[in-house]
Amino acid sequence: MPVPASHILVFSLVLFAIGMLGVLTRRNVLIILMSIELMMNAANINFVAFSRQLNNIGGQVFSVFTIVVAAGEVAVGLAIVLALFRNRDTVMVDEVHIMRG
Amino acid sequence: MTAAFDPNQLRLISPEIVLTVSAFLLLGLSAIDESARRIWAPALSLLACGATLMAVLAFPLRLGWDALRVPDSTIGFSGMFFLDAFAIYFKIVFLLSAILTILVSGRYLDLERSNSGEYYALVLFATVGMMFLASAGDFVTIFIALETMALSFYVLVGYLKTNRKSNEASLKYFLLGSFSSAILVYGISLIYATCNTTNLGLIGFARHKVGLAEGQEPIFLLGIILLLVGLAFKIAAVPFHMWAPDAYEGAPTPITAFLATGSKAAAFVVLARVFSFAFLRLGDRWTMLVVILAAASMTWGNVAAILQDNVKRMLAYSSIAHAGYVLLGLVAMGAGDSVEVREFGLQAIILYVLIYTFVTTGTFAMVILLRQEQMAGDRVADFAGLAARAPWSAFAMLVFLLSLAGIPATAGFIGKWYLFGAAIRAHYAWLAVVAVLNSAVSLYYYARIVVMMYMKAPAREERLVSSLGQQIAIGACIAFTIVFGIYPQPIIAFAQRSILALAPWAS
Repeated sequence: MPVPASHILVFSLVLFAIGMLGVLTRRNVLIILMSIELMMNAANINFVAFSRQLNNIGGQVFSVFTIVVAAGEVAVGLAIVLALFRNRDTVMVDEVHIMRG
Repeated sequence: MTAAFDPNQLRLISPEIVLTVSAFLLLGLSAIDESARRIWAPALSLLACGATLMAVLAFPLRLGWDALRVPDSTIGFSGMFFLDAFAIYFKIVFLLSAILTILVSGRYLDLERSNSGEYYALVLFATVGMMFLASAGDFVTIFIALETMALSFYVLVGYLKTNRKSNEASLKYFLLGSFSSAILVYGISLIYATCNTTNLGLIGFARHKVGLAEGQEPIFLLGIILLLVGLAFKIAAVPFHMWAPDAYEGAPTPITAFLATGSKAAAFVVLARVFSFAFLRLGDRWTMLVVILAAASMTWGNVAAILQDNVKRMLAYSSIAHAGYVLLGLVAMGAGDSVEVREFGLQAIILYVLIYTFVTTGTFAMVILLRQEQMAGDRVADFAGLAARAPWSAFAMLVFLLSLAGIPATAGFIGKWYLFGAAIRAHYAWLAVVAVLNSAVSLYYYARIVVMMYMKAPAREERLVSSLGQQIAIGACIAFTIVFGIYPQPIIAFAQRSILALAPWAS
């Protein structure tokens, strides 16, 4: 029996909401990064599932691109976090605040 | 929509290929020859931008501007790539912005002791991303190009590795940037789920001709809202602007200029393209959101700018306010009751983006000029007595500030005239009034710098040292601001010729 579209949507929305909550409430950069990954994967679930539902390969192709971009983002992000850690000895966003206003 | 790949289509992306190949060459060269890269890297990257500009201009020269209209023979890669006059206009803007950025970078990076080839390669990669954005006709292209640009910018903002401000700026920009990308891509996935396509033209078709299945309308609208939020982050519209002041303040100043002009213009291309191709006839649904974004950005941007003592931060808030002004054009696109009004809105957007690029780069070039061996030069107080030390520099800064404020006889006035006019024509006169009041508020903080320059005694006496590149860039920006402020017809005609043919989608 195929999974109904509404189930997919609810699932991906919940995943997206968890990710967003993580970004907004967590203070550790690495956990924020993981939360952003969750949000992107919620989009991937939509793409892949609806690609099958709608019988259209475009969504699966898009999800491959999303995965690639997410990997690139993590590579750049970890480099930035590393540079920050060398200068500051912290990965907590609330301790990084020389600039204000 | 044919599936077969035609190698001839590669001709459509020849400028992007030229730029990508040169960026890789530059990257390789700077790894091999460390001593020469200080001199050669900027020269080579300028050469690459110049060659790319030629390649872009070759299309209208060979085919004529009239052939460059969608729908026509200039659609490539199964509708993923549009090479129309609109795209070419923005490619020219991006390349000019990159050239100006490279011109003002050399001396600044020398002073920061981090001049290297990778910097220029990254600037070129970011430009490639922007150029693809200008041509994107499908959400796949938009997403990849946006990320190409954004990933280069994350690194460039944090380019001063040992500078704590630069670290912090890149961390904040990266976190909020990728957060907004995730929101954007989720919005796209919802639109895909309801329309069964990611192609901009086909989305409009699916929504209006075929019609959505029952109960899918709210999902589709949620997709549009998330897309708008993602792009609002990129243009730094209030309330999605939190990253901008920090990123602008901490980034190397040439990159701040590039971020304020190139990256912002790129996000506006996407907004204009997406909302004209895919969602134009849904104007009644999204216009209200854009109105709120515009009013909030103008007001908060200008009010917060008053409180700043750091010039880069002040200009960051000013650029948030300017994003608000440009959104007036989008309001006219959504709310206009005739094709003429909608096209007027679009024209106002692209005209303003061109003008803003020169004026803002000029302003930041002056901040870069103040960066001297012994002085960071980014506080308002650093401008004290500039008129006595360097009368021409002070005059240039005065012109740029007047133009940002929108005083007549400068290019900024023409841009604002069109934007505010677009809002009035779309029956949003109250929004135009808010914009005018905000321009008056903005005069206050621009005048603070002018007062510093002309009425305070200089704190230091030594001469301002500048490089040839800086002089050329500032000269070009000031010439643009004054010449097209007094005689704007050429750029107005250029913008007029380059707007998208909205008619097939608007009816």
